[in-house]
Amino acid sequence: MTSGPENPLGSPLGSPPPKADFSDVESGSSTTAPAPPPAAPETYTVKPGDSLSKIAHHLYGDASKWHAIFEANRDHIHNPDLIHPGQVLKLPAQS
Amino acid sequence: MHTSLKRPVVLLVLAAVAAGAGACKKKPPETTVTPPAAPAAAPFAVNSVNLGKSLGPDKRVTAETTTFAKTDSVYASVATSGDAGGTLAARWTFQDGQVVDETTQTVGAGPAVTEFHVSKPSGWPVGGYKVEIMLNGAPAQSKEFRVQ
Repeated sequence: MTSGPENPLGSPLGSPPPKADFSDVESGSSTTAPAPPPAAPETYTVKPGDSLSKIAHHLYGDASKWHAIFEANRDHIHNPDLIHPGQVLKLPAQS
Repeated sequence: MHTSLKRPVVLLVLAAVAAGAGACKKKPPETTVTPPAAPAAAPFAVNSVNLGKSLGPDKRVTAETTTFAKTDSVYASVATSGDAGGTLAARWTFQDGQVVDETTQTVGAGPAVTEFHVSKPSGWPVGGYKVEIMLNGAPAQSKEFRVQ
């Protein structure tokens, strides 16, 4: 029994070639340009399970910045330990 | 009455002298001086895309090439300019149209060089590839390369 000629991807001719697997491709980018100035105040919508420190860690990489988020939202957050899913928080600019 | 006639006469004489001088002298070339216009805002634009296997500290490829080995990292160095920044994206595709990777980078205003890179630890399939540089979502430039 002989197998038919193969294409570069290894499938017999006549059948559709298997798709190449690019699942392990690693990529990245960087630039010499300064980052653009931050846009208008951003907001974050609270998700179930969120806390101010969790949000601060997620957005700023520093959980201790929860206080800045609290200060920016004092008009509608009275207890920093009590935020609700769906609540829209103003995000202070990173210092 | 005598004094009121003096001024028109003097003006006529001066005009005649001026006309005579103008007829005798060669007319200088006319130059039009236009006030400098306010510089128009330069749009964010891709100036060049270069491919290579490594980058220098300025994020430009050290040696441009379009042929790579299976284990090479592929770098695309994109030079941009403009008074406003924008979003650059590199869309890498294989010869069959498969999207290999897509990476987005926000770029600030002014001349800049942005690099995008892809690597594949298990080795690139041999064949033709293309990297398309998108500027604010619209295709700007593309480069083709081969892995062999």
